[in-house]
Amino acid sequence: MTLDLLDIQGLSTHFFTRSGVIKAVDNLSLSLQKGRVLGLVGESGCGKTVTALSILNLVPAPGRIISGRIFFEGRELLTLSPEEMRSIRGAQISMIFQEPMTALNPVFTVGNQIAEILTTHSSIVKKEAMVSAVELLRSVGIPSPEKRVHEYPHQLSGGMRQRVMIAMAISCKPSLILADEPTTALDVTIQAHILELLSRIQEEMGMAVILVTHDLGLIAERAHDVAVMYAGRIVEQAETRELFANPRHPYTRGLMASIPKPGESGKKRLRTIAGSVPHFQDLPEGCKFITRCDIKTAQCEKEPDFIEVTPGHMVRCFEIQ
Amino acid sequence: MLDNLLVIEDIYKFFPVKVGFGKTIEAKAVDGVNLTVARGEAVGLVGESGCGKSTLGRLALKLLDPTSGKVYFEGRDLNALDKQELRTLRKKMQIIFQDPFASLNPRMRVQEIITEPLIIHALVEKNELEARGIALLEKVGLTAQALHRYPHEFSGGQRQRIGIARALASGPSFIVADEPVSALDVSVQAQIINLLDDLRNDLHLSFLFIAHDLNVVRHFSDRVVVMYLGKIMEIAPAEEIYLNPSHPYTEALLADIPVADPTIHKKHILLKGDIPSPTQIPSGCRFHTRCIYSFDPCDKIVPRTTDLGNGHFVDCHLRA
Repeated sequence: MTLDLLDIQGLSTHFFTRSGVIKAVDNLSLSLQKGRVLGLVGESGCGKTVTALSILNLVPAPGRIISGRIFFEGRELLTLSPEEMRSIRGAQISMIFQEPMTALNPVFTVGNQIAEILTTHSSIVKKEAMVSAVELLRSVGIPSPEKRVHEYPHQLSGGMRQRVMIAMAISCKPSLILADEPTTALDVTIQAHILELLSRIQEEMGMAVILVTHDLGLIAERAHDVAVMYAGRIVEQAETRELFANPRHPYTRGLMASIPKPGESGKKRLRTIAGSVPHFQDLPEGCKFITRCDIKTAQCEKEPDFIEVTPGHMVRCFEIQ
Repeated sequence: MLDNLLVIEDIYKFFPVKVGFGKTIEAKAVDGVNLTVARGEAVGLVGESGCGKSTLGRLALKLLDPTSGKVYFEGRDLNALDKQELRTLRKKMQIIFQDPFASLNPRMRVQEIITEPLIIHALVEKNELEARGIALLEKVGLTAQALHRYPHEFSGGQRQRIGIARALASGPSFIVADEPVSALDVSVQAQIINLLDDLRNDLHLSFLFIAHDLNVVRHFSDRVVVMYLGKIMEIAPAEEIYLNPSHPYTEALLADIPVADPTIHKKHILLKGDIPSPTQIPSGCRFHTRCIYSFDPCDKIVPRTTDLGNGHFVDCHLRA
């Protein structure tokens, strides 16, 4: 048996707000092997970002991880001391955020910010770190890196800033990168560059990536495996080819049908999913998708289990099981 | 000859940008555009951020004054109208905004929001307001219960429906939809696109549909216009532009959309560099700095518009 790089068991991250408890992530289990790209897909507010932040133990208040275990390279992350966790963040697990302008510090040069990670996680001095920073900027395709290394984030375009984010993320050669909507803020021609770059680096360095996105197109092109999230749960998980060939959960099927496809002729009505994502405060009892499902039956009043329907293909739905 | 509802003639819009002390330069947001929208037609306008598509949409409604050039609506020059005449004409031209969270006044109830145009244009008696409000809500797939609630009580998709109801209130014939679904989730996007499609057929509306997603535009439009740095690069009937993209920029835009099918291995076209600033538009063809086919005349001579037939026009030296 191969040991999983990351193994999340029964993770629940809840937010305790004045208007009630929000179960952003509820009893989520997920595993990821070395060198694989896992696409985590779902609509806004389904808990994808909170899942990523939980792995780093960076859930913002009033959120708390209330139960579950997260194993990374055999160590249980949630039992580590803050110091031990800090030595993992940025070094062995790093994160690429959606909005590089808010994730980068506006008052330090990009070189400084990359060097800071290097000096924090290894014994090299600032001067050597700046040399490495130039090399890192070069490796992510930033032109004239010797000059750019002394520039501030606001002097760079959106695409360049995201390249800097990637350079920072790979600076300590992590074995896992959490990429949270890394290209959502970018135009499609720039997105293509960033994704090519990520794929190249991922293959060269053999690291694992969790690609958080709402775009099924990105998943189809870049991920080995897919997990579809809805209302804090994973409702379906499979290898990418299998999932796109045989989507089983009604939510996955609805998502796929509602994207305008380039292949088919234009003037056709789009299929839709009725209603909208329910608020976390008034989630239905039982299956969380029941309010929007077109194949629901009486038994959906209870919560379905996450069951393997064919080898490697897991679904959380009574009708399919 | 088509009956043109909207005609935009050689329009320019420059914005002043301050650089240092007392020095300003011009950002050329729209840099010489000609465009028509026929009665009942939906024209899709695509391009990347900062290409001037929203500015063009606002110029079409005279929400912005052009630096030069003319806009005709139903044959009347919008610049030549006085305030009163313009106000009367505005009943017929409306806009739907991108962000349904920012474009509805949070302190107004839905009824006030959607019937305000009726009051401004004195289209109904006060005692009919509620009935008209309900009728508008039903048109966009909401119920009368929404009437007395506030925008924050609704989801993104529902808010966009309220924005659409407001745009329909004064009985327009032309609507500018500025990225109407970009802020919405995929499953809700499809609902709104279908709604706009129905309304277009039922009410015989004309649309200028602005988006950065070529797939969404294709679904909705009769013709597609591709803009880059303030200028139109290509115009063609919707199907035609997908089958035969003739400008290298259109080609790249299409090639770079990820396809939701893992069995297809699409070749992306990686354009060089970033979009130049509209304050420093490249010489010759403004796309030449990123074009993968760029050759001798491209950096010196501005390409002329070539007519490829069947309403397909392109500005590129490769096709001249």
